[in-house]
Amino acid sequence: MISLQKSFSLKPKYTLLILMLFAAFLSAEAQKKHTISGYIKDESTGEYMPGANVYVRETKQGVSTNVYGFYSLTLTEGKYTISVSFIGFQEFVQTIDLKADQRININLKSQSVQGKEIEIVDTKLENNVKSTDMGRVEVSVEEMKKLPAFFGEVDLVKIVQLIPGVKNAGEGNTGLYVRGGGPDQNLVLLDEAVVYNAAHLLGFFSVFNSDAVKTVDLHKGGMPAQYGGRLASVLDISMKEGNSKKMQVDGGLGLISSRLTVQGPIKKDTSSFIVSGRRTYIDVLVQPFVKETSPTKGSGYYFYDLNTKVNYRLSDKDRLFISGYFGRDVFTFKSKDSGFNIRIPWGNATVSTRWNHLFSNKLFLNTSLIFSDYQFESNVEQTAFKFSVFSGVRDYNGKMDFSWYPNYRHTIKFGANYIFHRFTPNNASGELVGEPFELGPPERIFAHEGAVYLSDDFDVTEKLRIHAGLRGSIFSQVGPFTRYLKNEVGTTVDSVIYAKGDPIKTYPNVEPRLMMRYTLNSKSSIKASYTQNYQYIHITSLANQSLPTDLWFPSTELVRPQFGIQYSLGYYRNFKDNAWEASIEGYYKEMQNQVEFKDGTLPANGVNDNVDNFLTFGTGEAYGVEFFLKKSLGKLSGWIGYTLSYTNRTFPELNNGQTYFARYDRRHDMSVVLTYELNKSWTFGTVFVYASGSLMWLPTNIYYFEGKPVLQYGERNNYRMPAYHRWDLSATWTGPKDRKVRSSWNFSIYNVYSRLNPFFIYIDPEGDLQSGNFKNTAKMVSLFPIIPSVTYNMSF
Amino acid sequence: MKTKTLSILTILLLSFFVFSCEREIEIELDQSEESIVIEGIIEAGGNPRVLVSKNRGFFNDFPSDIVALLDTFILQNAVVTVNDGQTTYPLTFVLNPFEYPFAYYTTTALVGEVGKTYLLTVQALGKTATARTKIPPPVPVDSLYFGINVFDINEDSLGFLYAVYQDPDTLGNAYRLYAKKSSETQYFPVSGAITNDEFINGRLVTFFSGQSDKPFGVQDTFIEQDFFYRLGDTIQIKFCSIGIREFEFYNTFEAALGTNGNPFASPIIIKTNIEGGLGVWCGQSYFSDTLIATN
Repeated sequence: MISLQKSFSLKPKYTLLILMLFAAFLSAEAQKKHTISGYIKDESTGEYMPGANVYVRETKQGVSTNVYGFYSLTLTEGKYTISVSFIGFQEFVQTIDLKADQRININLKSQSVQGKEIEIVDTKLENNVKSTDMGRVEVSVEEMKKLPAFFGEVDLVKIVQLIPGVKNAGEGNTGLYVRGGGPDQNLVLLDEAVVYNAAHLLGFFSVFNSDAVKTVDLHKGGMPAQYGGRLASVLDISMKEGNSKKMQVDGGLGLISSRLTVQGPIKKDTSSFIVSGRRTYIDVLVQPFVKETSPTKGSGYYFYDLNTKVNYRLSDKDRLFISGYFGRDVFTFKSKDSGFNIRIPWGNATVSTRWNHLFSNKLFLNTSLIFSDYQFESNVEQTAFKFSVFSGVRDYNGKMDFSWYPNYRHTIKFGANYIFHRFTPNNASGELVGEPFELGPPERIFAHEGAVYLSDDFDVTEKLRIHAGLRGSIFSQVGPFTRYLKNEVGTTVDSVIYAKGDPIKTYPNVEPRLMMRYTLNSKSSIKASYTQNYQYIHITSLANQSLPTDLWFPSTELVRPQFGIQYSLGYYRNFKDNAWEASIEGYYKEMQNQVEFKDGTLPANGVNDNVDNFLTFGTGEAYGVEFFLKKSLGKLSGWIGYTLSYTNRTFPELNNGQTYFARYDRRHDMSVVLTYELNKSWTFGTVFVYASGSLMWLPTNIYYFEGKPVLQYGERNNYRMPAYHRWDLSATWTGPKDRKVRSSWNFSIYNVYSRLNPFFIYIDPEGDLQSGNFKNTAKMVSLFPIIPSVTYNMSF
Repeated sequence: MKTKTLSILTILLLSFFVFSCEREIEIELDQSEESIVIEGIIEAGGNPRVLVSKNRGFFNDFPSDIVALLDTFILQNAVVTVNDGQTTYPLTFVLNPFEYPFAYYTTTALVGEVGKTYLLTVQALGKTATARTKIPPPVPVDSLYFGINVFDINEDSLGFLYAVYQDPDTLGNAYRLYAKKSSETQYFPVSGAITNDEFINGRLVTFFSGQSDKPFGVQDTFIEQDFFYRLGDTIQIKFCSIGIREFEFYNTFEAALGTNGNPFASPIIIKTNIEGGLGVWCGQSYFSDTLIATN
């Protein structure tokens, strides 16, 4: 109830916000106005360029293109100089005499095409100081490819982990912990489709094939109103559209996987496609060395990804994009001797269909229909016995997002979103000698989720810019559903059955978002933000690691939506003509209705029961300060980040109600990411990371019961593992650009000084009691020593 | 089954990364304070038997011989009483070197009765631990039979004990199976053969089990075949009815043994029915039967 009261008490503020929004229109002068609008594309590939800066020199005003490369600027009649810029591209400058609405589509040329160095002052870089964005970082995929790669695989999630405020989940792991939030609190989007499990191979690789990705955009604070449904962050990944100018084939051979991407125009400048695939081949490489007689012949592991996208320009005002992702991890184990077979496939599938429509040169609409699915399956077979466990989540999602550019002071976004969720908690089926045996009916949980939002990014005065947004969200669990009711000792005593479509529990909520920028001078500004978020779906895990078996489950009558408030304050400053960007950002977060399993919950407890009957609820708190220094221009580029942070949890039913530090509470976190372009052929990269160890819960005492040792656990997360640090190096050689086949080699060394970083710690009871040499010792397992790798890439 | 999946994934993880290495590290942790640990049973028709011990620092060195080990854990000077609702009976410490438990508190003045509630009080280490338990009525086993293990195609004489019983209509019945072969002197609980009637209330239930799990000091080496019964074995069982809270203790205790030391499993907190201590005080009644394993 606390959260509800809080949001209601804020109501007068909303009214004020809305008044401010409209007051801004009323004050607009009554001079004649015209609109310049259009799309910005990369000249060589025809890819739309999101986030390009369109700047009017005379008024010192600018807008950024939206995610589809569209911009719109409304100005009073007159002569203007328009400049369009994007990092790595030549600045486009045009003088216009604005007397009527104009459509200006612009193709930007890559800087390197010219063949000579051009030093430009990139206005895009002023965004650091001028935009209202807080806690937002974009990383270029091209830059990522020059950095050291783990096993030769460029992994964008691993690069995102190097951003201050983002922590990894352990050695080699692609799990994300953003500003003290849990692993389920990140909204991971691939072309707007939710990716429910973004990890391959227990987290060592992410599901994103860097060849198919265009942009990576992380919001770790100050989440704009068009996003919702998660407390901690949004990782918004856009796939490439495909080269609309010419056919292009890119391929890569790595240590453990190969990649192939084909893209090209279907009809030049009108439609294009891209198909990109990746598969690991350890299993294939190893097979010849496994003897025919080996008892485990046929066992193996592989994963693959397939990304595909087509786009079609229907008219000057309409564009259609259809994109899809399909990926699977497959683990098989065969034991000839015992007739034992295991096959465990898991993975995601997404399909996004998007239609862009321009109602006018000021009003842009994107309509999306999205399907997204995650499945896990475990099949065990032994002679006459078969057993399968399956679980997953599936969404049908519809969205409408409007961008409205009424005048250059305002960018208004509004829209609506509806998702139908289908959750499949752990279900099992089995067969013995051809006879199926009963394991309870398969359980599915259904829910509706909806949202509407409105936001305005506008200049209140020359110095003050505000992003004000309001998001209304609603979540409703519906039948069919069976609720098992418990008595005081936790025994099921009754059940309530809901029929198909029956509403079980509905949560309506309001989420205000406010970000402000106050310019101190042309080089520095102060920004502040306040955001409220609700999260309606959750993961909680009994295990210490994120695993493919982790289940998503919805808010129900027992599980209330997670609620988070974040305050942040930052100082932003650029140096040396914007070549260096620096920021200091502090944040404080409160989280309510956090979810954990009750003490003593056993993995089997979910069968024939409701998972939420085993959950307990508490609050969380996170705070910290992040330092970020970035250089985007010049031969030397990269960043240095440092984070000091704290995050804790308080659950009345856990740890005797005492507050404890979350497992991923890591005090210090530093990363240095640099690339140096020596000449046209050679680029060097280096990464150094240092992070305090994460926490573990270890036994403090032991006692004996029925002659067996029983471990007794003290305070939760009572042990901090040793610190994690690592240094990586890379050298990338790129062949001459004018050849038909362009090739490049990436040589990487992971963990140069072979630091044995903690992966996990386990207890090894050594010796035996009989001979009197018994002792419990702690053993630390480290995974990766120094690992050199080579990757070959080619393009024609 | 989820546990099995998890462990398979663990194998996958560890086998894939052949580079992994491990080394011993020193861990310094604050120990919890000393607690009384109770392993107490009062059986219908039997005397109460209460083993009182204490916990110890996890990373401490262990004593070098078994006598010293028992000394380290077992509390010999506790004040132990049981009240049956009318009388308080003091229990005295006895040594029992040839059977498990090797030392316990007992009294011959008190005999457990079905339906009665017993209050246990233990004073030791400057603390008091109390617990209450009620002896539920016994539930008969309708039939016992032996079945060959179909999961192992290489063996044709090893198998399981199957038991069939009718669960009473009332909810809240829980069971624990004890067994021994005729060649053995003492009954021990069978691991995994503990259940409550949450999902099987009022139904005819069949379950199977392997051999009982012997504590350290009784059987110290264990090979895989020790888990099964063999054709020709004479198997004696005690099918014990216990209370729900007592069941919860045994259930979490067995699960905790299963996850001990697994770095991918979250610690399982054992639910106890002891106030101010650890362990269990369990009232039980039993049905006994014998089976000769034949095909």
